[in-house]
Amino acid sequence: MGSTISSIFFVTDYWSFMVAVAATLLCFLFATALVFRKPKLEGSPSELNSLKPRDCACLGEDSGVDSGEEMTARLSGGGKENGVEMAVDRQTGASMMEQLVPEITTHALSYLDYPSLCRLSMTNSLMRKAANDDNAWKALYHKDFTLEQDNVTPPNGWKAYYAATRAIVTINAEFFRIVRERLLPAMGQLWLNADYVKCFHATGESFSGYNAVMESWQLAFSWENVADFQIQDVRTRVLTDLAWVTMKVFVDIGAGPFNVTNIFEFHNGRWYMVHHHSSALLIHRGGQQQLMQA
Amino acid sequence: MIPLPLIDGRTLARVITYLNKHTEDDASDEAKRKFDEEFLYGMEVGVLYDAALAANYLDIGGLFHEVCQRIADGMMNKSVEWVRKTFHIESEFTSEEEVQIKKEYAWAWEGVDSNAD
Repeated sequence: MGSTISSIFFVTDYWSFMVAVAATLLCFLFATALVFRKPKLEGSPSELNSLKPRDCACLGEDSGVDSGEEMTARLSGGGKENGVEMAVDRQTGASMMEQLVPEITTHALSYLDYPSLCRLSMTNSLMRKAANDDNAWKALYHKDFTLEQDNVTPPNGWKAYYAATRAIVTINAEFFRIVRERLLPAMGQLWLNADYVKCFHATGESFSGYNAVMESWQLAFSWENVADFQIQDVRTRVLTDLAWVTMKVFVDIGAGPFNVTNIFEFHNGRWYMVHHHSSALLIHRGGQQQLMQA
Repeated sequence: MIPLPLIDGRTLARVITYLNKHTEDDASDEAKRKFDEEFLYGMEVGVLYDAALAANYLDIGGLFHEVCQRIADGMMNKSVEWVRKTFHIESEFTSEEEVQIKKEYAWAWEGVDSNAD
């Protein structure tokens, strides 16, 4: 009898019962959140079953299963317990990065490429300091360019050295693009207009002074057949106003690699080519080797 | 009982899961790689940091490498705003400072879309 009455009571007041349950849960969540609202290294503190002491090595029951759910809530900017979770996240965000041991940060940064590293340094001043770390840029230099120069200490730090090296590598590639596309005006822009610039073509001929060098390029560009080529083993050494680059040029006709040396000087805020030297093309003729004459 | 003061329970559980998988006798390299993918997939930033700290403290090379790679992947080729948002980084730069820093790094933005997401 009593049970029937109570069950009828339950059914008719179903919604008020649900409201009461919801309210209780909400209050409980709010209370738990307040209790756990401190900067901590862990993730979501507003879980109902995480009332164990946090700093012991005992295994938590909620091992890895909830991470997926947490993640979606996190990335979508909060989810269920919106205001509470986001507030805790912001507090722990910056301090988390700070609490990372420096070697971890350096190690993680070593996986980045240089644009990402630069962007990271723009996020905040702490990241700027981390991203400007000399060792990170040194590692990036060794990864992107060469393992050489390990014992070199660049005067302005490795980041500046990386930037300068990248500038030289770019302009060196630009030189070969100009050769490939036979752009005489561009070649004229690239070289320094001075009487001491020199050019040693693969033909074995040499030219001295800006005008002679330009004429030689004009002649070279007028040749009918120009085979395509690949550049490899680019090695750069950059000093304040001077840079020299060595590379191997492989031409399709299989004549073996040409060893090329280019030298650049820095004037008026940009780099100019001042010297180009290519090893000469050797032609085997009946067992005898002779230098190709123009 | 060895107390580990720097690692909390949940992170340690994750580390142990990782180690169990990687020390299985019959787990091929490919199975391990697949496990790593699923294991680290969707880990949010705080968890990644914890895992990195734990792996560093316990000197677990493989896990440390994976987690750092994952952190780096989150930053690679993303815009500044995205990185700030994902890693919850507060910026105290003024807009003039930002312009100045960007100028400093101008060479890094050549040919790169700075707002790529």
